[in-house]
Amino acid sequence: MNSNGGGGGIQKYLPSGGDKDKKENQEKKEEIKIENNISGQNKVSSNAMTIGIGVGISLEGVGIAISRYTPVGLAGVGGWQIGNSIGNNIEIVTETLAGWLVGLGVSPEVLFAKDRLKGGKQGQRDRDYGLPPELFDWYHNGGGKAQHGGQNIGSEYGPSPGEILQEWKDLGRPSGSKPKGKK
Amino acid sequence: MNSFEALIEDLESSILEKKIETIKYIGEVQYKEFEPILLKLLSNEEDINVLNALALSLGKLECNEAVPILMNYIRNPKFKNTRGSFIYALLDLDCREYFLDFARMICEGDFEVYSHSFSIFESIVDDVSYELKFEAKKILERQQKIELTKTESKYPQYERINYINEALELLN
Repeated sequence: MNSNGGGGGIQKYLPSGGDKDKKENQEKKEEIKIENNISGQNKVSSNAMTIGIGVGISLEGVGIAISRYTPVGLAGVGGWQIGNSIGNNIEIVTETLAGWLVGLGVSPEVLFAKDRLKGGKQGQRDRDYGLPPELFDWYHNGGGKAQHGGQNIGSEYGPSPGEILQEWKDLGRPSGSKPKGKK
Repeated sequence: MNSFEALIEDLESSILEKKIETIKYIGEVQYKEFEPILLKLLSNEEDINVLNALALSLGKLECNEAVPILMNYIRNPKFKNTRGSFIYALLDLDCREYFLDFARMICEGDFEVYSHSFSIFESIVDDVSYELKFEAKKILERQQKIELTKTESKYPQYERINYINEALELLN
């Protein structure tokens, strides 16, 4: 039982100690409070928050690493705070973080290198709609198209996207030569 | 006969399968020396499966001289239902000059045409002028209005409207 006499809830799992420990405990409580709030929301926002917290924790590591070499107090930004913000609007926080890194001397060419930030968008698109890149690779390079008389997917005489997806899955998701990259 | 001569002989073969396999092999092993021969074949060939193999191999060889020839095929109504591989091959080539063509192709054609056109559009959108982006926006917005009047299909995940919306997002 800790000195606050709470005893219940998360308090019994938290170590008792000095002011520093109390502060940490308070932060952990707030984290759990956020997580509890999420559970009552819809699936989309829950996922976003989970991603946000995950990214937030890793960003905290980056922040601490940078603050060892610079006077900028990035360490003051708690991981959960970033995570919470990311959960609300991942794009704004990504841009903000990119801005900080540019301010710290990281080259924008490195940060915004072609395909680097877009990689996430590609992944997102593949999940939400369209067909996987591996399927297209098989269709064009692995003989799929030739088997369909050279017809386009979704064309008048070609297979529909749903049909070709099923066929590809039935074949064990084969690939063509190698995944096609962007220009 | 050395391997170069053997490959030339296979490229001239009347057996289509052999010809296609040889074209694919040249692309896989990155035989840049064969670019002029493949370009000549691309201009003169008629069989769609050979043309597809040529387009993909020239893409792998990053032969930008193939772009105008492929664009001619893509615009040719004869290849309306088969041009997907030509567009797919362009993913490896520099086709910024044809930016508006890809904006138009997102708005027309079958699933393969608009999905590959979108991929190219996405990869070059940052490299084109404001004027071209403005033109592309007009083209896409016009088609967006038409698509929004359509009833949702059984498979909304494959619909054109997804690609139009995301292309417009890239322009904003």
